[in-house]
Amino acid sequence: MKKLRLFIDYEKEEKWLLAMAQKGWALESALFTYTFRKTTPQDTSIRVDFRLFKHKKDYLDYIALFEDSGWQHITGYMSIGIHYFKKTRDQANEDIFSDAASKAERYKRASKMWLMFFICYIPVILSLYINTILAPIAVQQASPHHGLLPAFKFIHFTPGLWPRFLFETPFALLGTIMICLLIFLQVTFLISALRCRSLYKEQMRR
Amino acid sequence: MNRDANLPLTETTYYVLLALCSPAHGYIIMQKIEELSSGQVRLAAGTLYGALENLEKQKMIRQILGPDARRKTYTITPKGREVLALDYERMKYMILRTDAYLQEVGE
Repeated sequence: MKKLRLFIDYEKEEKWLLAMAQKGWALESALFTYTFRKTTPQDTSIRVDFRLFKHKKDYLDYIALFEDSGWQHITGYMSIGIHYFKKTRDQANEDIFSDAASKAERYKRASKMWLMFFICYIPVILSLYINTILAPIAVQQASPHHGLLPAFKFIHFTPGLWPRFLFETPFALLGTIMICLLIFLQVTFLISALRCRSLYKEQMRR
Repeated sequence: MNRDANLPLTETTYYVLLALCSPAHGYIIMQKIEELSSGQVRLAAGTLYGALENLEKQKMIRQILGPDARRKTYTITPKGREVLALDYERMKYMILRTDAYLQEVGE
């Protein structure tokens, strides 16, 4: 079974995954959507960690430490940063963190990643904006016939320009759609970054 | 008094440094700390991983070639030993002062 959910708060996500396990749905993967496998209902404690890895070797060492201490790695992505663990030994620690500061720090790391995404996409949006919106307007304005007239008027009243219009419209349209999509993503990145930051601060105060 | 910037160490950091006076990998460190603290300190995997990463960044521990290819083995560095000794002295002094003062006020 697949389920689409978006969590910023790991504690809410952990509770939801526990509730799913208690209903007999075991987590299999969590890339874009959650994939569950039907099993018998279980009280499986699930914990989420956030940490980016550059090298496979580091990631394997990290997983080994969790598994040695009774937390089995269910799924995770070293370059996305999200990792899911389930408790497999009764005598294992109740949590994958044993102090409040280290538990809160996963939000700090996640916030940093969202902010990095946000910053990386700024030049992309700017260049798209310049190429698809500013540049055509500049070209039109430079035309000796029609100073500041809007693009469609310019094309309508100038004979022989229709082929050019037909050729350019799809590009302009595509560019505009891309910009809207990227701006939507940007807003999501920024909201996620700010939410993670506030969760981090909230947890550090506890 | 000019104190080392790393002081005071947290309980986690102190025990990790102490445990690494003999080389070990993550899970061994965890078990050693539990034993050293008579079961009072049970570090969880996420917390220990973060502590090891920080200590390595601060050059208080370093990786060495261990018997296990998958698990990283760490050992304390001279800088780590120095900081551990300084924190030991700090706590020892605190205990001394505490005992002396409590006796003075007649507790």
